[in-house]
Amino acid sequence: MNNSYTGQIAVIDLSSRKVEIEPTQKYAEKFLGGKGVNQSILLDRIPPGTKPYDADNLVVIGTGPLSATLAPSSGRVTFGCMNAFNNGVSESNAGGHFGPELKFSGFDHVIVKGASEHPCFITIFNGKVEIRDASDIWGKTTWEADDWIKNNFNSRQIHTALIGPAGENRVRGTGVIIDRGRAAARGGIGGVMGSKNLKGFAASGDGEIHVAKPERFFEAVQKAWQKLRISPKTKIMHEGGTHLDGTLGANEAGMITVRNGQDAYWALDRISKVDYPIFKERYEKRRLGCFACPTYCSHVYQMESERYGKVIEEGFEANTVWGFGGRLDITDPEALIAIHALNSQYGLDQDYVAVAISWAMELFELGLITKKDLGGLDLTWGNAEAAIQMIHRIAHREGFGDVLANGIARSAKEIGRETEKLAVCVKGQENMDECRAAIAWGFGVVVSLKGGGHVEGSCNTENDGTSLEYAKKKFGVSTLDPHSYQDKEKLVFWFERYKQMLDSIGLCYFTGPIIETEGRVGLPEIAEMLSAALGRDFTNDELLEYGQRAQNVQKVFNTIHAGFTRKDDLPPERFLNEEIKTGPHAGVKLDLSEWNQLLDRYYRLNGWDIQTSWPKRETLERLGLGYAADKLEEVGRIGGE
Amino acid sequence: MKTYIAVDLNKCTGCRACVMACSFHFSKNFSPKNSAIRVLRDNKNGEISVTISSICDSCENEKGRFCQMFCEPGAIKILKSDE
Repeated sequence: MNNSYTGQIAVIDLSSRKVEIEPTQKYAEKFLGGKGVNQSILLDRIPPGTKPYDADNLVVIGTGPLSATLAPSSGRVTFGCMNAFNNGVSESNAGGHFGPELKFSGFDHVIVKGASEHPCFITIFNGKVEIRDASDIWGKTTWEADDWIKNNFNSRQIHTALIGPAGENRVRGTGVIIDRGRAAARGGIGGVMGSKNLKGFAASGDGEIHVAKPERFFEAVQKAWQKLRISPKTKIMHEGGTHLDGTLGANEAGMITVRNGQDAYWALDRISKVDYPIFKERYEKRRLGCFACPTYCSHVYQMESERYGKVIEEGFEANTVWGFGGRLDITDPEALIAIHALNSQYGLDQDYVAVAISWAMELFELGLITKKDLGGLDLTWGNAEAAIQMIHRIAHREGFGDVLANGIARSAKEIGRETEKLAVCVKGQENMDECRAAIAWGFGVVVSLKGGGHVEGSCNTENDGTSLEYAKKKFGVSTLDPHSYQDKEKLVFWFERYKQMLDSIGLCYFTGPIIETEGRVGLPEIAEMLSAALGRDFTNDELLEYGQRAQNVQKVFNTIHAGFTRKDDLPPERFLNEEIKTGPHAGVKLDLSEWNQLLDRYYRLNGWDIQTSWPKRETLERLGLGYAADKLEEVGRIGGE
Repeated sequence: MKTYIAVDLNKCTGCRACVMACSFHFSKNFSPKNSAIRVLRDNKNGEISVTISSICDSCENEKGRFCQMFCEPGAIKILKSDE
């Protein structure tokens, strides 16, 4: 290739056991790669009426045009499918080295369709794709299966992406785990792979990735690395990753949900027990970097615990502190490491697990469920042992674990008795993120097309020290007051497009504005790297338009398959009804009228119908997505004037 | 005076930027097979191993040593020998 694509998509049919190759180019021109191409494929090929665990659902893996190069933090790999919770969009990405290895082995994307009769896994070694028998690793944890594969092929160059027993058992909140520690887990792709009898993927390769203009690319890459080198945030991420960056500061910003949403400030004497310095002193073995990453925010934690035995594990992030710390009120560092490791081994989405168990803990506190319902477990706030037992039961679908495994939005409907109000979900999926104290952050979480999560339109700009002068110029906003609703649609609209683009080219979000709005690598650096890699010039605006195109493809998918409308962009009820009780944001809750006005402005900015939220034809046509407008018309869900 | 590359495995994060930089020096493209450096990870134990082959030419005719330029944790050191 005379550009940085391998040029090949592997299409693997597990039903017929055939492998075909398609050219990347037919999707790349319009969608760049990664998430954009993945989601475009899903919209094109999943027929209406499909359910998540049907053989017609697809599993799609994507790398981007900057993956597997010297572009900084170019190790991301993104996984898409129909969402296991709500039939809408699922796309989740992870770091590590699997993505670049897939590209070195010859493929930009992988599409898996159909379902295997027997457990299988897929090897992709130097351009050769094979469907292999997985009977030796079915039922095994991701750690055991990773070991088996690397030993069986006697290679440490292999990188894996595997599901655990929870995915095999079709627990809704399950992901795929890269090399034991890095998870792509929102949206339940683990269960979708389980429904296909697919344990996962192993990749290894020595192929060459060419860029169109090597000298220009090298110069652009050097400049991008330099920007990261001088960014103040890099030093913090080197020091302690998101565990350091996202604990005490996030708590002050009101971003940590406590006890399933009863509060959004975790008492200092409690959060201090699980802050990074304690882990650094007692448990940090080393720092690790994902592929070609100058930020290297990842830790390996190692402990020899009396209660939990010897554990060595990677991938502990702020989410573990937020989810199992604040949300469950657990303050034992060793329990948090054990819980994180257990989620990785079972292939569980830790955000989902934390929300599901915190819901059960609150039901237990209120007497809506009892020890008898819980098979004897004492699900009192902060009881780490009971939480760990419940994780085992979720993964194996035992007792009340089976209720949680179905997803709490579904289960609350069955249980009734006010339990629905306490199920903190967005678009039917467990939502770990606090939404009350910072409006752009919370709004980004709630309108996220994949159903919650802070990695689509959410931003830290209200709290990361960005100057108002800079924000006015860049985003056109008139305030950065976290509690204000004014102009927040502009922030979310910008970040959504940016992140969609970033997920389409293969770079990590930590290269850019999610952790430092004013500095780091941004549109100009990306445009220069991409122009040199692909041999045609990209502008900043054009990059955002690629992001908007990907965003609209997913909006169309949600409209057709999930039937989402405006009501699905409303926040969890609890955030509207209950004030934050303590801390700097005490007294704050969401305001429905303000939220609705914000939604109006956000839909207008997107060119979506204000009544229904459905995309308008003119919007889709302007983005070159006229065919998607046709699809909406076929189901009678096109936006009007 | 000949120079050698030494890697401090306690500082190395196993990110393979050096592998890509080295590949670019030799071939103007990116591939593990075109690099003098090989980095393998043992995720089970949180360990990294690095080997440097004899094709390393200390980035002759380049403005700097590419592997070192992209080693953010500063794990790569250049040793000099009179031999």
